[in-house]
Amino acid sequence: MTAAELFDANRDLAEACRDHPFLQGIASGALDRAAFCFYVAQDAAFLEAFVRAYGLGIAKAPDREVMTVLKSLLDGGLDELELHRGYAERWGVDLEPEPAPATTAYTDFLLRVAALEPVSQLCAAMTPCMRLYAWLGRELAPVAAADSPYRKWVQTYADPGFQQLAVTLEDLLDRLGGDPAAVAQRYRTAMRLELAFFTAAAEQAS
Amino acid sequence: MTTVGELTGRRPDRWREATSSPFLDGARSGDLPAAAFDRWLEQDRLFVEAGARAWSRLLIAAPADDLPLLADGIAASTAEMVWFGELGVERGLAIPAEPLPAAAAYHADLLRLAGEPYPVALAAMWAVEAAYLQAWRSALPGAPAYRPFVEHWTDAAFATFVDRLQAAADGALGGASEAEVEAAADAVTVIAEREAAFWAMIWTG
Repeated sequence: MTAAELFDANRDLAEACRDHPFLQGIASGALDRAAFCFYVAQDAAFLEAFVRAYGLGIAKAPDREVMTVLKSLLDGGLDELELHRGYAERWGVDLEPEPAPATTAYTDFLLRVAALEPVSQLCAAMTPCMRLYAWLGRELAPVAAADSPYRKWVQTYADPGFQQLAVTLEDLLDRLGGDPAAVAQRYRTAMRLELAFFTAAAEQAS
Repeated sequence: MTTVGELTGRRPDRWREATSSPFLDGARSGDLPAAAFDRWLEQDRLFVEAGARAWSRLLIAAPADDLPLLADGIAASTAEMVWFGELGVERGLAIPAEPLPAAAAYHADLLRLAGEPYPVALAAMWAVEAAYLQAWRSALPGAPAYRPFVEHWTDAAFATFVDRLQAAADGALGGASEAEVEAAADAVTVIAEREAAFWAMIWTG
């Protein structure tokens, strides 16, 4: 399956994320501040692992071109971490929290795949985060309330620069191919973990 | 507190051999044959790729504050890969299927050390970059045929990167156990020996 087909096959989970109270609260602006702060802190912990996973991907890359593409994606991850530092300052978030179970489930999965499996399967495990967020940005941007305090979050992921990062990773996934069953399984697992991540944040509402 | 600079002082002979050689003297004087330089460039091109992989391995255990520095290390290596690609076309360089034995041994040690505890791995990476900078500085200003290369490998951006790396490596050593400091000293010596062999691998004057 191509990356586009993989996303289509997981559209049920993508739509469950979009319709999740956490994402709907981001769009409307009604999301509890505590839930958003929790999410930002946990997402920073997740992104740190994401960047490390890219590092392992570079170390195992089959050729120079793959190394260079993964490096550009790693830079995107570091930029996103910077963005979270901005949120942290604005919202008073501690960016070094104890990782929540939903966070460690996701980071453990990513780092295990990065350490033990081929780069194709690592790309399959990492693509959902990029493609899902790019899709959520596009889905939510037209309906996000103008006065939502979380509007910048939506704009970040709707931005063409982020869309391009998702396409870059998808192109790499398509190029690397790999074992179709394993690739599809890693993709679906990551999508499930994304949904669980949003649920964990929503449960923090005070 | 132990610093990486002090680690090189434990084996000054090894560090001297890593940072001076007839090859570098030849690049300064112009005595280095162009064909020998091209064969060396082909090997250095392969080494840069191993370097990018080694930098990437460090990401797994690095403290979060060091992630941008390590990303810059990977960026410097991947930029050098592109530079070597263009240079290869310009000079008609071959891409060897396999590194020469001295280079292969260096790749293996570098990738092994990159997987050691973080203070050890970072000291090793610092040794690679610091030795390279110091070595090429010994060839300044460079004979006309080699001057652009000598200037490229001693430019201000590279020197600044090595300074940042040294500060981070010293910081990591500051929090290291005694065993890790000893392992870092051994790692610096191994890198110095591999650097010396790399200079001597093609041409010894």
